[in-house]
Amino acid sequence: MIVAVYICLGFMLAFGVIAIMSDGLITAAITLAVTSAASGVLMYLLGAKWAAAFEISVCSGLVTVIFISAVSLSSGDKTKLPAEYQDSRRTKRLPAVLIVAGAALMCAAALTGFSLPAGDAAQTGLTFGETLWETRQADVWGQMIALITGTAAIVVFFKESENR
Amino acid sequence: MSMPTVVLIAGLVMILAGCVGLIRTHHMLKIIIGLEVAMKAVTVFIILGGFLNGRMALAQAFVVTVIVVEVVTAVVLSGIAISLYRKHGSMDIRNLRSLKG
Amino acid sequence: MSSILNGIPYVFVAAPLFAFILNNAVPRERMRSHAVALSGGVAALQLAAAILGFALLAASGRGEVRFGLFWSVDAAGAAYLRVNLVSLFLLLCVGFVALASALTAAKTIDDHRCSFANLFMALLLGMNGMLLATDLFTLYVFLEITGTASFVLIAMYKSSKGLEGAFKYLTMSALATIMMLTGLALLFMHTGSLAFADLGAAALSGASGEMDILCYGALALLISGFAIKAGAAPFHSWLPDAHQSADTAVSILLSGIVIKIAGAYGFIVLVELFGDLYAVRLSVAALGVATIAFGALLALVQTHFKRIAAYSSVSQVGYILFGIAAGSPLGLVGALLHVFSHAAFKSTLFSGAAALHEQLGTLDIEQMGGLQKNMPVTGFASVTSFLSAAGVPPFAGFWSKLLILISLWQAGWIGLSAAALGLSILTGAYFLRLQKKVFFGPRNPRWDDVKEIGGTIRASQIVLSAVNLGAGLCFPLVLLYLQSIGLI
Repeated sequence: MIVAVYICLGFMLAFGVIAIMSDGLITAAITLAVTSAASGVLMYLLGAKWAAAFEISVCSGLVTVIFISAVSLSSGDKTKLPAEYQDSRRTKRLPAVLIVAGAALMCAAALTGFSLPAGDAAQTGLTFGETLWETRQADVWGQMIALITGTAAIVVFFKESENR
Repeated sequence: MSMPTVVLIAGLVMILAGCVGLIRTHHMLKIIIGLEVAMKAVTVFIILGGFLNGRMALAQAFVVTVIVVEVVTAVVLSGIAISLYRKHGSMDIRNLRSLKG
Repeated sequence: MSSILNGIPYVFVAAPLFAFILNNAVPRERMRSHAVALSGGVAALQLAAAILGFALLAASGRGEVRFGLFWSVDAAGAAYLRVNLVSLFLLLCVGFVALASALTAAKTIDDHRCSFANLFMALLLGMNGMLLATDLFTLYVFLEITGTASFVLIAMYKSSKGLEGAFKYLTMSALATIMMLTGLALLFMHTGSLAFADLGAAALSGASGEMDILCYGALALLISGFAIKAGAAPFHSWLPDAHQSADTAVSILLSGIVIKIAGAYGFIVLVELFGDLYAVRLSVAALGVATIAFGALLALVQTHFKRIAAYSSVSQVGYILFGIAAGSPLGLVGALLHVFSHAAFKSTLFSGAAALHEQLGTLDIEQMGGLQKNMPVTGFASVTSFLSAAGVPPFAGFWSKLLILISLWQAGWIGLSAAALGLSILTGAYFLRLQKKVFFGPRNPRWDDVKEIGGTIRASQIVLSAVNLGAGLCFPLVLLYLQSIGLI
């Protein structure tokens, strides 16, 4: 399992950086979807089955759809950003920076002897459904209010014109 | 180096990547990409926390809520970006310079 | 009595929700003229409920009232909602500012009234939820709701400036969200729970008695995240743009209460949980002094009325942070009272801005002058706002600043106390400049025919000035009361 976790982690990181550095909007959207999928598989491997399903269906699916519809509503050149954006140039040194940061963190962890406990503790308590509906219902109410705020936002932004 | 430590470090690197991407980009919609990449890493952190403490059900409840809120944020951000595009005809952040001081 | 007390907390959640549903269920044409009045009604109801709840809770001697909406609060580990004296006081402030905003909105919001009412209710729900939460994660969720509602309110008219202000605020807020969530995730990795009851400096130390590097990182990230949301320096750059470009009714909400609940309340929670750690309080104090200085200095050079007011808000939030950083009950009381007095005088100032904008059409102070004769009510309200902000007795601002300074003194930070005192001279300076340029001094002949504003804005200005003065006159009674319950 640990090898699988590392592979997923590698995919997540690689495709995430590609998404940030890419010049084309559609490329960015698709690589973001792959990153989300990798993250979902990672969550499944760690034992979070419900969260993995949610992540893959929402982040891999819904956010990609939102992004691509935003791109098509702004009819710019979709496949390649115009030269003035130059995102791949502005973030050219990002991989190097990240590798340096990662190496620095690994050295720091090795030097200070910092290490998180390795094994997984036995899963205690209620199931996911019971936890969500019985102990964290305030969060569920929060989600509902967030969603209705989102619908109010959509009405404000995407409505063409309002008759008085 | 234990597996959770590697996940922690990789996640921190990913969050750094997302924040840099968010700050450095000139295109309004790429900000969503940067935000999303960082959020992936954060949700993995939450699941890792559940993994380490044996509270996976609680962690999953957190992750589900975070994902919902993040989607709403992405929708609002794209809404503002599209409205700005309709005003200025471009998605460049450098056009947003009219408020000064 | 106790059943009334048990029932009051439901008002804070049920009333805005019910108004939201009503706003959308009634057909738009009929709702349009009543939307703002409905929002005002909810705000007034919240104000009344908070006052009643505060009085009942103080009299009953209970620490807090727990409640759950459709779930049992006694289930193991349930994240219940609760009201205690601090949150009831802040709920009072929320209702107060919301009422002031609704009174101004009746005049200034001409278009999209139903959307305004929807977003207003969402904002109220977000802030109320933050104050009722007992879990850091619930706090985060409602903080996001507050933020989302604010962005959309700022951008509501889709003017160029409004969209730009909202966009800058959103970008900074996204960064803050990433930082805060990372901090929360690191805390969760350490303790396995994010409830207030389970956190605390003791819980973080764990078995070894020392704190992990992970915990230091988590606290640093949480503090930075809340600092961005509060507009504390050096993360304040989004605040003037957002407050200036929004409609004045929205600016009243933002400056009057959102930055305090979204930002300062977060610090209240952090200091309450982790205040035993000196580093936490020291960083909050450092943020405080930087914020006061930056805000005041930048306010001195502005020419747009609302921008001066926005930088002034930044500066006053610094005082609130000082009060929180002191860590003592007196400091907390001073901070809360300053939340109230700042809400009062800042709302007065923004109502004056609305009046000026309605009657003159511009908010550039270089073009104004000598308006005291034309708009005496606005001028008088503005003067009360200035005196309260500068900390002149007997206005409310004097007492809250005094309490904050005393609490800093008692905490041993004499230097910071002196700095706070000195910086309030700057507060007086930029306000004096504002007064001179707008109301006194030579009159620009353009404004010879300008009349005073009427209607709800005039009423709100008069009421707010009265609250400014009245609260200041009543403060000694408040202090005596606090002394009698042994807080000071």
